[in-house]
Amino acid sequence: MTSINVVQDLRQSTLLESAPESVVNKLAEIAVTTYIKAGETLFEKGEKGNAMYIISDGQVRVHDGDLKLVHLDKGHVFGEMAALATDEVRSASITAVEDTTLLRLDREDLYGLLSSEPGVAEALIHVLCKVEKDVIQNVTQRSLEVRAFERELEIGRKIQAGFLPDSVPQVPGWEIAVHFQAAREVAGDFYDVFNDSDQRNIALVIGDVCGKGVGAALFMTLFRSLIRATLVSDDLMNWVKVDENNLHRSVNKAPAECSQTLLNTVSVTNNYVTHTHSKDSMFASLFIALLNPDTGVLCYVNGGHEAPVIFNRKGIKRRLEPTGPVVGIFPDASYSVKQIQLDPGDCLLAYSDGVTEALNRKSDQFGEDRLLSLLGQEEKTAQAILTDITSHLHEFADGAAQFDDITLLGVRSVAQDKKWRY
Amino acid sequence: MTATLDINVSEKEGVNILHLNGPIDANTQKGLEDKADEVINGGADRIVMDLTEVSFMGSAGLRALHVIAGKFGGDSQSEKFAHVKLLNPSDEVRRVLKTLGFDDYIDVYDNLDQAIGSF
Repeated sequence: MTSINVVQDLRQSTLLESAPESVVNKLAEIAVTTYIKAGETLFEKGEKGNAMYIISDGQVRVHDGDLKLVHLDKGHVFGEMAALATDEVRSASITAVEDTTLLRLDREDLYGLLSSEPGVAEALIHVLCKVEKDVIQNVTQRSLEVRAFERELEIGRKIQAGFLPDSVPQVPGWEIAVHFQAAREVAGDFYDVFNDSDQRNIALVIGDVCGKGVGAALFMTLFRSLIRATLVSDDLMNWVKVDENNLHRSVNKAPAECSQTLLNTVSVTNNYVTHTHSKDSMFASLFIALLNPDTGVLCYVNGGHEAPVIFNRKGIKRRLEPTGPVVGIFPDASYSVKQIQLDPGDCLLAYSDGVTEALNRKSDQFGEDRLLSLLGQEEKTAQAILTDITSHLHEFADGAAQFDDITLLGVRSVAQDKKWRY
Repeated sequence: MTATLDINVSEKEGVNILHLNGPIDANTQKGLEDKADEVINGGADRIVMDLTEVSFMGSAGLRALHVIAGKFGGDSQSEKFAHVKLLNPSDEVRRVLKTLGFDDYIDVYDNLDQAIGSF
């Protein structure tokens, strides 16, 4: 490397782009040419340093361990901070990407120059200001990204909240309670409780769309809407099944009709999502039931959802195991409908996996066993059952972050003397 | 501190085996999909997922499985899942596979040679 090339390289560097000729020449006198081979690490983060470098030719990677920060090539300067301040250590590591030629300026020589050449100080200040500006830009960029992320979370939460019912129908002889707690990074839980169109049955729905964020929330709205719309409209179709002379609706929908409505609802929902959104691989677990409040007969389909529990003060009576897979990804899936009788004093508890998979600070799971142990000990209202579970969850979590939505749906038969009508 | 999922790839008799260590959840599933992408773009058409060291696999993990199986094309579920097999999941992971209904679609083996032989 001749000294003319050194002058040229210095002149073209970001350090000296506006420096006078005399400064460039003085620095050329103290610059030392060094070479590093591709893959060679010049220095590591945390080491003490006493030289700064200008790249004459080649490329280096600025990194923090495995985390690549930036690539620098011809004309760029690095290492100025540790070189200029005696107690600073290297803030990043430098490794050559290709065979690289560097011009090294040692601290001692630089400081020697500073007193004789004020232009050198100016050049260095110019570089340091540029570094500071880059840092501020990065911080601003990060803050904007964080704000955008928070905004997305807020949108997700609003979407989700908009699709959950404002209130739960009150039905004589029954207690219905719901507890819903969204995770910070909203996940895809949904629930629904509504009267079917002829006001004879209560529809109970609980579901969990896989994934998190706005994507899961949007699919949640799709599932929730499809289910409610199909169930209600299927119901309306049943109005028309009459004799030709008199238009009337069935007084109590027989279990067979409930079953058909539930199967239609799940099939339509599954078919729509599998065919329209197959590329997204989005699915939801779904428990959907129709409860006849007069007979206590509960017809249900369980599509891949955690098995709800039927229990009373004598203990757990039954688990309502899946009767088909999750909804939305298996076009050929088949679902079956089952029935169970809820007698006075019986409770139904449906929950999402955010309950059983809740973690404490040691990353232990709350678990199904712990949940089941809370059920059936004594007579409690539906609301009291849910409150008991949530306070145990809260105590268990002990301040650990909530990663998944938590949904609980409790139904209890409080009928005393009832005339069952079939 | 979020746990990470480590993935090592090995190969036996033309089958690529992804050895997974850690949880497969909403945070780690992208890393798994990316690694599977890499392996499939490299020409793999038969994959065994070794779940021996998988501490947790929830719905996000099963979605990742479905996405990975989907990369193999094929019209039916059985065609897609024919390219991906599971090896040695824990009892808890088996329970999740069963609850969500994936066990009817994807084959699970306790033994690597059996998994390889099943393709």
